[in-house]
Amino acid sequence: MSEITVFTARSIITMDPSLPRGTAIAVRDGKVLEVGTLDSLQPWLSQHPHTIDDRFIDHILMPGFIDPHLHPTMAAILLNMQFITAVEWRLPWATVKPTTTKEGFLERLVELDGEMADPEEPLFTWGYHQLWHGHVRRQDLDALPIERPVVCWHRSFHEIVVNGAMLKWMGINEQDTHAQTNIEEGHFFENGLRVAINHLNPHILAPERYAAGLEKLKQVVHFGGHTTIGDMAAGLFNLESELQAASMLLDTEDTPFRTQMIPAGNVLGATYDTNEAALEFIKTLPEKNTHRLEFRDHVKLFTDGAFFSELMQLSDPGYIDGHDGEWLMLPEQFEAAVRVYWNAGYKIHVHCTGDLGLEMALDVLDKMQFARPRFDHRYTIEHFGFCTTEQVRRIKVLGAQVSANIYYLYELSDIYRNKSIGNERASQIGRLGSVVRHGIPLAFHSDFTMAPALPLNSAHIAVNRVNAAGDVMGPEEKLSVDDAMRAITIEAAYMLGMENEVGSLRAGKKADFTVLEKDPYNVSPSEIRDIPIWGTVFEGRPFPIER
Amino acid sequence: MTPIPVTILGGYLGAGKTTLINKVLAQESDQRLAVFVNDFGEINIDAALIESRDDNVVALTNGCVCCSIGDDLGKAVFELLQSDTPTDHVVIEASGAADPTRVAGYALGDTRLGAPHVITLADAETIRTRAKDKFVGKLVQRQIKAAHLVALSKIDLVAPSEIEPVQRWISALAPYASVINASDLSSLLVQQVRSNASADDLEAPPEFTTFTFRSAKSLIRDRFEEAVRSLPPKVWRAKGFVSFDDGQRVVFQKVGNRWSLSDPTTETGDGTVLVFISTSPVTESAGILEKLQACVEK
Repeated sequence: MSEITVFTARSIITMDPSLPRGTAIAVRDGKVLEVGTLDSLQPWLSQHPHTIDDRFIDHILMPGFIDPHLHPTMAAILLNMQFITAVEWRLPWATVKPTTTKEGFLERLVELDGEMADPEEPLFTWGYHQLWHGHVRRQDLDALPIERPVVCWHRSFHEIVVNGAMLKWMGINEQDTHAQTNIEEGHFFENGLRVAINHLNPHILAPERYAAGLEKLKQVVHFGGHTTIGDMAAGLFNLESELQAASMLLDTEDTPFRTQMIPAGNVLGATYDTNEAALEFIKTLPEKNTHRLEFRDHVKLFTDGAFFSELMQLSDPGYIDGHDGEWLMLPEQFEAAVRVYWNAGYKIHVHCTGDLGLEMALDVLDKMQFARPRFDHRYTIEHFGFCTTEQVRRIKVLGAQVSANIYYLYELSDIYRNKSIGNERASQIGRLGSVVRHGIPLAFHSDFTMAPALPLNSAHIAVNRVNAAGDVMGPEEKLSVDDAMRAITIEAAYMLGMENEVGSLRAGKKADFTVLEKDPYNVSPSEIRDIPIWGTVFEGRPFPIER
Repeated sequence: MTPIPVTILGGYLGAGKTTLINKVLAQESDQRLAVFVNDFGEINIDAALIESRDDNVVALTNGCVCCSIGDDLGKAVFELLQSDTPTDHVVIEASGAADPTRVAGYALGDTRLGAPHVITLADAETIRTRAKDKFVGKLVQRQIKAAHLVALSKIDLVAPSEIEPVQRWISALAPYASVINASDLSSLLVQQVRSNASADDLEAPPEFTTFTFRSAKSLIRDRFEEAVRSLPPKVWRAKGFVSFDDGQRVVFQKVGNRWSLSDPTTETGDGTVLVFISTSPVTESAGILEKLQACVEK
């Protein structure tokens, strides 16, 4: 047994309502012995050798933040690109300032080109959006003093614009014609993008580049103050290679967080032909668990399409332009899969983004409860883009819980108000106040890169409900600071079934802290996202954020 | 290089797409089909017909290949085209959740592929109920609207009197699509390559026209054979019974340029009933019907 370390702090926010605050916390072997004051810890300290570590005496300690839903594999690919975005993105190595004009966008390309040492290396950027950056095409890019191949990936991922050098690099001829591409303009979109991606993939997915991307993801996770994350669809690309990369890069001594991998049940169902066979395979996954990487009794399923792509399924009156959303799993397929995992006692996470997608998730849960009732089943609504007030009550009645991406409200509510779903529904994206009023467990996630992996930023949005255009959207659905802090700590642990190990600070839990410079309960709500993070403590070991 | 014709096979879960694909893959054909399917596990190929297989592709002794779409149709199609596998016709099974129009978009991205043609299978028994479902009603309707040809499946499960109302309902929803019964779609699918491959059809997917010739009186055999030989190439599929003046009643089949008359049948019923499927405009069918009418015994 190791010696006891006592961390003292200006204040320790435990997120345990039975003892909400302390100023000292005793840690041994990576776990909390007791939280309180130096005085109240005396029964331990007087009987065991210990050291007092007062490096956090001017800091606030919180339980380590938890993001129960992000996608390390996708993030690893994107993080290798340079961000040129209309909204600010805070990344560990730089804060990407908003670029909101065409001139600014093109200037930034030239700057980035100048910063690159190898003249052969292509420049990949992400974040182009015509609403801010105007009509950027090959001619604009070719007019720049840039020799290297350039790709401007759209914010939505659904289109790219490239320069002439990139066309040549990809081996695409000027005279080639494809639908949904415009070679002359260097523009590939929707299905035409496939033509370009087939040429780009060997570069983007090269092992050394992918590993570098995953290293960056590690920094991003640490930078947000996380000590636990959920990979909420392991196997989306290829479970074996994802696991291999994760164990090489996320299971090292220098990794200041643990990852729970939640297998994508729909993908494995297809791989193994039946849900039953997929379940048998998933049951074997915990055999692979290591200290930082683990599988439990959770599984991920899907109903409707992506919120950012306007493919969520909406009930009437639907979209302003009349288009329809998409189903990722059809009702029969979804129900069959849910039944297998429900009957096996699994905790089912359901990606649903629109109110009709949610309706399907709830209808099926209703059937399961009728046929084979379960308590403490943790059926989790993931994303929770748009729902109705009545559905919130139904979530409560059926015993489900909510893991929300509240960033939708920030980045999309203004544009969706005007172009997609109208003001009433856009202002009610993320109906979180109602969720809390019904006593439903509520956590936040980033779905990174759908949102910045910054829990304080998510909390900030939920408390203020101010969107990127500066408008307050749906003030009745604001959360209290306490509910927002719970949503990034103890409730997020609850989503992952880890509430007995992490998410709050009390005797017996992991000694995971997020170390803040200011107390989120004592700053103005408009400053929450700006609270500086010193770093984290993972299982008793401090990990400062390098600046 | 002549683009490879593409057929998208759409329809909701249970419409019979897999059954049809299994049938197509098992039959002898002079067409080398590349069939892209969502669920490899459901494809049922007689082991004796398999020439080779790996994780994503099964090559058959009849020259066809069956490829798994996996999670990326664009990639699967791209890999086939890169592999130089000889292919006369690409058939893509759209998933039950897909709008075939969107799937067709994947085939639009590559110059080596022709304009996609959409066939949607519709379960005659359940299609109208499904089209009202609160979750998938709109999707099911979109799948029908996307079709150039709607093939009604499982008609044996429906009372004969119920079929026509279903056909009418589909025609109202998709007025430009042809509606046929799916019992013989497997040869239709194989045959499509011929009509599609002619250069003038490549720009726009052909619109299908179906029309029926009926006659209570017998036909004169020589004249009928002459009329069949003069049919325009766009009439690429025809089938039915013909009663000749010599008292024989035979089955007539036309697939592409080939046609045949069977030995006399013992089929009950009388008169001539012939169904034609054509890619020519509906206005041209009048001339064909006139020619056939001229074969009737006076």
